[in-house]
Amino acid sequence: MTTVPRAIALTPLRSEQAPPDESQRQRVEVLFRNGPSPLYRLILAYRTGREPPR
Amino acid sequence: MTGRLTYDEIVQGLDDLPALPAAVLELLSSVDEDDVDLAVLAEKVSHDPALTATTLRLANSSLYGLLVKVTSVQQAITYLGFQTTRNLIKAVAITRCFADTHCAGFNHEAFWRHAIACAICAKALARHARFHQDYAFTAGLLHDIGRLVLVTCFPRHYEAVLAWRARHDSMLLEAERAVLDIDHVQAGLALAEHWHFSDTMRLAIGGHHAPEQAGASYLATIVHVADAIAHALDLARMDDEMVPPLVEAAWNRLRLDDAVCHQLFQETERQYGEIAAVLLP
Repeated sequence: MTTVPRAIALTPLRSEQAPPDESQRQRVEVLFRNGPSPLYRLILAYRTGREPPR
Repeated sequence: MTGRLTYDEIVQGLDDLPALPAAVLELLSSVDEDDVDLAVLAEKVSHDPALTATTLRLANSSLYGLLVKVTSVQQAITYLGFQTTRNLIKAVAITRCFADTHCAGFNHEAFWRHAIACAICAKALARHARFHQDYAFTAGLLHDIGRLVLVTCFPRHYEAVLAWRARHDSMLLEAERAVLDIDHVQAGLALAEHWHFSDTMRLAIGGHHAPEQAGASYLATIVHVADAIAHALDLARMDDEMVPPLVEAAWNRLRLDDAVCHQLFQETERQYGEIAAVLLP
């Protein structure tokens, strides 16, 4: 399981307008702590805006 | 007393649930048929003002993008079609049927937030896949309904499930199987039998965690993927939210490219607030 600060792990993401910062990435890591998923890369890109959709 | 549950015990527990209105029971069993008299249906539903009002709010939402405002069930049938209207009525009726039972650790509102997000996403996926959008919306809304059966009929048992889940940071499905030896999928199928859901809905509820198994329907594939996306979008706002395993064959079957997924995420989030405001109990 990914280890992240509890305050971040327990902060659900509200919307796509949330700032593309490290907390977004960490929350995505927490959401996908169950294991790899084809969705992971897409949600991470969507949340952080760091990888535009191809 | 808490411990294991059998399918028969769940079936017996269903008698404690409130009865659905007669018109809704008729709709539930008729989804695959086309012999329901529209005028009679509109008349029956109109006798339930709250059901009618919520159905009309949903019909007038951005889910359907109507250019006119519908103000009666009969009008909704005219503009949206019979299939869509009766699916809306069913969805609204079922969300109202389960009262908040005290079950420590269970968040009813979060349950419905996830169900609504899944329904919206399933509808959008169905449009992409050229499948029945109304079936997908209803199946998305009801896919976890067995969980409400367990919480409502066996609240102490389910408290033990939630405690196990918290201790192990597991999926809820895994906790149900470990503690009860039965899960919400089977409880959902028992309810589907009890309320005479159509075969279409039964297959979707029964297959949403195992869409790769023989006999699973295409709708189960859509709901399976929508379920994972809804969890991943974090719309239930649960501290311990976790994305369930996504069966790769199901994912591949829908042929979703990156751009489509991006649009799907946006559409689900955009519509979520509006639909939640209508449907949340």
